[in-house]
Amino acid sequence: MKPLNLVTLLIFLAASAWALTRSETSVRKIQKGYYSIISPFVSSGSPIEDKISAFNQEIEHSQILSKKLEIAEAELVIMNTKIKQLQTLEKENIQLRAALDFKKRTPFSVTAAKIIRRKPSNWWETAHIDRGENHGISPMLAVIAAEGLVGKVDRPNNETSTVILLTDEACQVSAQVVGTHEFGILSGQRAQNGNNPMLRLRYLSRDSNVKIGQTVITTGKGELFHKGINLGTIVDVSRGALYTEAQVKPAVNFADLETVFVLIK
Amino acid sequence: MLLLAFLCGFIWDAQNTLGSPGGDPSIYTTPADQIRFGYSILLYFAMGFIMQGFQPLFRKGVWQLSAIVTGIATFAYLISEYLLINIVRGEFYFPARVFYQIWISAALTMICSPLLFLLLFKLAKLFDHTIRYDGLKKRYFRFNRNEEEETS
Repeated sequence: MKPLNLVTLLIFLAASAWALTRSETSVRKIQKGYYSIISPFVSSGSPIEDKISAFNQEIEHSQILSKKLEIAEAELVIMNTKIKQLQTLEKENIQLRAALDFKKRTPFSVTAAKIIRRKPSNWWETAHIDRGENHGISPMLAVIAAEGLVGKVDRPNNETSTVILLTDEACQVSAQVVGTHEFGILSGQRAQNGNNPMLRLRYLSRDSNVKIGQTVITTGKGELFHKGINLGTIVDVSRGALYTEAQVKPAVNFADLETVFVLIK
Repeated sequence: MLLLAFLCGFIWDAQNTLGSPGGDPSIYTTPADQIRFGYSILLYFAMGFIMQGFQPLFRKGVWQLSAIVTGIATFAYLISEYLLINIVRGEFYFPARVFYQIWISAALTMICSPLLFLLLFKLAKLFDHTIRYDGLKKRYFRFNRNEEEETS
């Protein structure tokens, strides 16, 4: 090997060793610097993504309309279903208004935020919101939607923040099955993707009597999340030698997430 | 290559590294551990090392092999990253959809890479630039010269 190549390789190894030995505080500073540089591009990219998304939705909508024409006889049934859906939406609207009124009814304040980008990386379930340190956001704050828990703030920048979603394995929540004394740790599953992510509720007692259809909520223990936030519904239970584990369908529809609320302590 | 490997790995980790899980350790007894910041630099180095080996052929205009190697290198990168996550977090878990996700990513990279190569060749031609490669230069050109002498 030529001396120059050897020197270059040694410099590279030294730089790699430097990067690998950074403390968490240093890493956070690096990430903050990086995101302060790319933040304007992330925000400006969002309207384009919205337009593409709207275009795709428009295509899907057209396909639905053509199908409706073909099956005219079933239209009445569909309309009745839609009326029911509208009634559900009306209820959700009331719930959303109640969520917006959180500030008056609770000791903590709530900041509404828009999801501006879902990260396309392979193994991490994270999203960017359009609220950052300038809006009072700090790490570890709970992020909710009208239906339930969305995740927690991982890294606030000046104007935006990164939220680690409940569907990520690294987002763990102390959870309780409603109507029982069963407590466990709820988290996402490794490398899951698609529109129907499932959560794992682990460390339930071995003789647990949890059943499919029961609701799971936060316990308020562990210093991260407030008590009583809806997490999801049990869809499967498997009993192991040491403890029982349940599969939980999240209360929040992560495929169609636009507006969230950050609970500020 | 080393500079690119460092920059790409550094930026990738700056984008994706998660913070400490936080919370009361008596409640969250088994937090999901994270891979150290900077690991991607080494993975990018490994990818670059593989690609570098095929550069003499690439210079000659044989981009097909480089396109295939791009896919292989991407596959190797993603599978290494996933295995590292498994090692750090425990509970080895390798569902079929992970393999599907990895090979689809690698295949897409392989399909798209000729476009990038085409762009590189066009730019090189436009600016009358020759991609320098000194590592195997002597051996490679000696080999070519011998071939030419034999044919003449």
